[in-house]
Formats: sequence, C-alpha cells, structure tokens
Amino acid sequence: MSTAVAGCPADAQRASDSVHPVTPHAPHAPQVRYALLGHPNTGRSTLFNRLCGLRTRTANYPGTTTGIRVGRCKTGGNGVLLADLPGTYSLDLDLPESRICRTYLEQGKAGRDVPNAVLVVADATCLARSLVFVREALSRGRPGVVALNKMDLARRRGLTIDAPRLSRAIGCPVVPVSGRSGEGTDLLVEALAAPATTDLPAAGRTEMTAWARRTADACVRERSPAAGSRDVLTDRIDAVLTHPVGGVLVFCTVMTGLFMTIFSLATVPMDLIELLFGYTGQWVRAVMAPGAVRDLVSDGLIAGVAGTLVFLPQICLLFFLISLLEDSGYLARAAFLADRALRPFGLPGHAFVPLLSAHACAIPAMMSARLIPDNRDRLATILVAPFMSCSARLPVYVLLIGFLFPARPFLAAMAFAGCYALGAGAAVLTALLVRRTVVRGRPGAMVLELPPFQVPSMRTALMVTADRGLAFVRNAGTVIVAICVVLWWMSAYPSTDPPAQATAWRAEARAVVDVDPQRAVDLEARAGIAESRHALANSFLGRLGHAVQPVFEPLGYDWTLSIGILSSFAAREVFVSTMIVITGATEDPDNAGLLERIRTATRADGTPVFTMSTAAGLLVFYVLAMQCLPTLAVTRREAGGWRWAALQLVYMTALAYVAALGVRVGLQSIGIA
Amino acid sequence: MPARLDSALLPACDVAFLEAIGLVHGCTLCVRGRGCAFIVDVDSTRLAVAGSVARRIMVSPLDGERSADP
Repeated sequence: MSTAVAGCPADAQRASDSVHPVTPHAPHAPQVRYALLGHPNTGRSTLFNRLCGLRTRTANYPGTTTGIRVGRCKTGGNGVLLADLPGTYSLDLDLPESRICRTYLEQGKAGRDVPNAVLVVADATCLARSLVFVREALSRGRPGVVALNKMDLARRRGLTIDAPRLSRAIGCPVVPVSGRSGEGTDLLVEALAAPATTDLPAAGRTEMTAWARRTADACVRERSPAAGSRDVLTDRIDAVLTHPVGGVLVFCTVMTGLFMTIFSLATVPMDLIELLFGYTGQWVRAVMAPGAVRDLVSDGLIAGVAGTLVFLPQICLLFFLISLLEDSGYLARAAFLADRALRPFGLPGHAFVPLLSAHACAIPAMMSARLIPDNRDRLATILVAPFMSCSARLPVYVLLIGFLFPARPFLAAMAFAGCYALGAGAAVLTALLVRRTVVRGRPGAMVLELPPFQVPSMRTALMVTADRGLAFVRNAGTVIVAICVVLWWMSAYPSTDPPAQATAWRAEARAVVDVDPQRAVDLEARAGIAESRHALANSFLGRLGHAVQPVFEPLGYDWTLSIGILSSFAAREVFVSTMIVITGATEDPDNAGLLERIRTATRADGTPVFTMSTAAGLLVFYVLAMQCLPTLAVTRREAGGWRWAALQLVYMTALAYVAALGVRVGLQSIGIA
Repeated sequence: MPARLDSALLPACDVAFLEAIGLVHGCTLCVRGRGCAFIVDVDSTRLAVAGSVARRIMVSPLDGERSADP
C-alpha cells in the first residue's frame, strides 16, 4: 500500500502555462483557490474539515453539503483556499448540485474567488466509478490534485492501490488519504502546492467508463477473500433495514430509543444548569441595590437566558445521536425506506434529508431542498418542512410534557416521540393536500447510493454537536436576550399605584407584627404578589395580553399565555423565557426552580394557568404552528414569493388553532380538565 | 443475481443520471435484494433503486436469459 504522494513534477510546470495560472510560492502571488469536487459520500466535507478545521455539516449519506463553504487550508506559505462544493455524480447533469458546481467553477462566488485548481476526491473503495468523475473534472483544463480518500476502509477490505501508477495514468498528483483518521493529509497539503494539468482529453461517458475500468484494474492489485463475507453480512443487514415491515420496526425502535436516551441522560445536566442560574439570580438580588436594574438583570436577563440554556443538554444529545446514526450508514437506508413511505403522499425519497434536517432547523432544511431535482417536489418539501419538530420547539415540548407527565419518564418519552410523529404526520398529510391542489403532480423516481456500514466517528459527532450547540447558545445570547429585555421593560412599565387590597394587607401586617409575626409575614407576601400581579396587568405587556386574550380564550389560555404565544412568533423557544419573565413578576422570585415557577403559576382567581387540557392543547399548538419569522423569510426566498410564505403561515396557524381546540374540548369531554 | 444492463427505458435526464451513478449500458450488476427497493451492486457501489425505476431497466442475466426486471 503506497502512502506517499504520487506526483508529476513535470506537470507542475505545465500548470503555470494553463488557462488558470497557479504560482503558489511566488512572493505576493495570488492564492491557489481549489474547488473541492467529488461524488456524494466520498468524504469531501470530512476531508475539508480535516484540512481547514472548519465545521461543515458532513454525513454518511448523499446530499448533505448544499451550499459552498470556503476555508483556508492549514498550511504554510501563501495558504490555499478550499471551496467545498456539493457532491455530484457528474458535472454535466441537469441537476441542482451539478449546476452549482458548474457555476462555481466558471464564475466563483458572484464573480469573485474563481477557482484556479481542482481537488478531486476519489473513493478508494470503488475506484473505477470515481475515476470517471476524476477524468471528467480534470479534463476541463484546470490543474488539479486527486485525493484518494477512504484508504483506511480500502485497506480493511484488502485493497492495495498503486498510487504512483495511478498518478501516471491520470497525469496529476494522487495522494492516498483518510479524512476520518487524518492519514496522509499532511502529504495532501504539500501536494496542493503543485497541482498539475492532465493530458487526458474529454470524452464520452462510455469511453471514460472503459478507461476508468482499465485503469482501476491496472492499479488495484489485490482483493481479500474477506470482502465476500463482508458483502454477505451487509446483505443480511440491508435485508432487515430495508424490509417493508422489519425496516419500519427497526426505524421506530431506533427513534424511540433515541428520544428515551435523550430524556434519561439530559436530566442531570439540565438540573445543574437550572440550579446554577437560580443561585446566580438569587446572588444578584442579594448584592445589587433594589431597583429597576436589579430586576432587569435577575428577572429579565438571567431568568430569560436560563430558561433557554436549560435545554442545551437535550439539544446537544439529539444532534450527537443523529450524527452517529448518519455516520453509521443507517440513515441512507432509512431514506430509501422513507421513499416508499413518502411517495404515496406526493413526496420523493429525496425529501427525507431536508425533512430530517428540519428536526434541527427548518431553515437549513429548506436550503437543502435545493438538491431535490424536480421543482414541484422541492416546493412541496419546502411547504411542509416547518411541520417537522425543530430544535426550537424542544424547550416548549420539554416544559409542557414535564407538566403533563412529571416523574414518569416512559410516558414523557412516548409523548415526546408523539410530538415528532404528529409533526411528521401533519407534514405528509399536508404534502398530500398540496400535491393535489396548489402543487399538482407526482414525485420523480429515486435512485440512491447506499454507503457501507461503518463504526461512526466520535470526532465527527462531537464536531456536529459543538457546532449546533454553539449556534443555539449564540441565538440565546443575542436574539433571546434582546427579546427578554424588551419583554421585561414592557412588563415593568408604566409604573402603577398598588391596589387597595394590597395596601390594606400591608397595613394589617404592620398592625399584627408584634402579636403574630408569622401572619404578618404571610400578609406581606400576599400583598407583594397582589402588587406584582396588578402592576403586570396594567403594564404594556399586560394590556397587550388582555387585548389578544379573547382570541385564545376558546383554547383556555389566559392573558399571560397569550403573551407567551405572541412573543414566540419571533422564535418558538422564546415562549419559555417569556413565561419565566412573566411569572417572575407575579410569583415568588426567590424560587430557585424556574420551570417549577411556571408550572405552579396561577391566574388572578387562584386557578392554575396550566391545566392538563390547556397544557396538552398548547403542546399540540406548538407542534403545528408556524412560529418562526426567519423561516417565513426563507420560504419566500426559496419558494420564490411571499404568497407561499403567507400560505404557510395562515395554513399552519389555522391548523394549530383548530387542533389545539379539538384536544382541549376532547380532553374536557372525557373529564380531564 | 449477476446481470448485464441492456437498456433503460427512461427519460434522457434519468438515463444520464443512471449512467453517472454507474448504471451504464453493458455494465455488470448484481441484484442483492428486494426490500422497499431493489438493491444493486455496481462496481463495488451499492445502489438502492426504486421499484418504479427498476421496472424500466432491462437487464440480461449473465447465463444468457433475458429479463425485463432485475
């Protein structure tokens, strides 16, 4: 097995004479700008992460890289710019990923950073097929380097590849590497300084295929007998995972196990975060002088951010586990399983990746829908993607399910999985409706590459988790803090005189303090709560809540819940922090348990804000409602007009309202209030 | 079951995609299973082909017998 760079020094010289000159070592020379090309699932993004240290989304199934990520290679000299392009099976196809690659190769990013070299990633485990693309990419005139990726996997399969011979056959440097383990990447970095232009002419696919097979036969020397037994094992696993019944059972088991794991393992760090912020709020109240600033910091900033960050462990666990599933090769099987399930509803199997991504966030999901070949398929996917339960809904789910099933983790996990199922069910039924009305037509056919099963990379999973977790924290640290400050201000102003009842209680407390100190304390506390409630009810926020409350009255929501729903139209997760800010003004602020404060919140008449039927209806409302302004903006952009965004908003909100009303009425009719 | 691909009775754009993914005229493929889709090995690559597509791909078993469906 060769691990050295198999280069062609003579060709390096030719590079300077090419249409796109490359002179990386000359003083003040222009940078070498590589376009990173390759088939889907050849490990381009993993290699890109390894070379540049950037966190791009990578997965062990096709269609993950949807945009163009540019990074600087970790090397000396002038450095090398790499652009990670979407994986494509050919540059000449009439498919979105091919168009993106062609456009970038010709024009760069809006005319800037036009690549002057190509780094083609070939899969060492299926060299013949990769070589067709290598020739297609290199014969376009740009100098290039070939990274022979997945060498570790090829070695395990008993394949030995003669890289120097392959390099001579192609006419440019070939570097055996493993993006997952990092093997050979230092040599690849060196080779990037000297790309070469191939002598191979462009040819038809039949000729290129024949050449690729001849070359692969000449360069791949050995095949271990163990490969046969591996194929048999893969066959058996695939027979189960893609079976119409068995595959669905495995899928349901895997997803239920995933959610149960999240619920079980996240409890401890969640409690710790809640405790930490609770004590921090108490400490702030103890050290700062009473007044508006203290209330802003303790009840607005700390409580509001805590209410969002407390869900960080669950979000990180979700992404970590999904990443492991992706990397193992399972999700590609699940995608094909999904094709059979989605097709009757008018969605292609290609929609599986966007719909799965929508569980993280609908925005990248809609962007990944660009890779769906058929425009009508794509539009239908965009319209239904926000139904999938995104990470922003997680805090609301956890809060409300915690109210519904306290200390009953199995039922909580079932309810959690039920929320995801309800969202997915609403998505496919809506897709069916959409394909029969506004976007008529049947989905296109599906052919998908099934990657080999492999042990998932912990490094990749941790990178994805850190990336998504940091994005969530950044959001909590900016948008949510801003909303918390505004909400706090609206809840604190204008100042009002205390109600007569509270004044009377305080007077009574002063009168009895010497005779019955405990009663005096109780009266003072009661007066404090009455004053806070009165102040909030007459604040800007309270007036707004009272104004819209009649709309939500049929759902059983009081004016505080109405405010929570209104404020979370900006972003769903704001609901929790809004409720914390609001209840902080009406309940005992020294209560360290932020979620407990919401759970025990009461109305003016002393009845609980959250009953079983109200919480269940609210949960359904949040599963189905379109409450994310950025998503609407992206719908407009990706679908091509505000009318699609407006349709999405009206339809989802109306459906959520009706469904929540149905749940509440249904539960009340069987005696669950 | 090893077989040779004879033709694909699909629109030109679909044929181009099949060729790019490795299902070219004359290639040897091996049908590994039929679950939700046809699972086919081509050049060390495993592909899942939807039934609606597979029904339009004509192959010949390598023992010489013609079949219209892998």
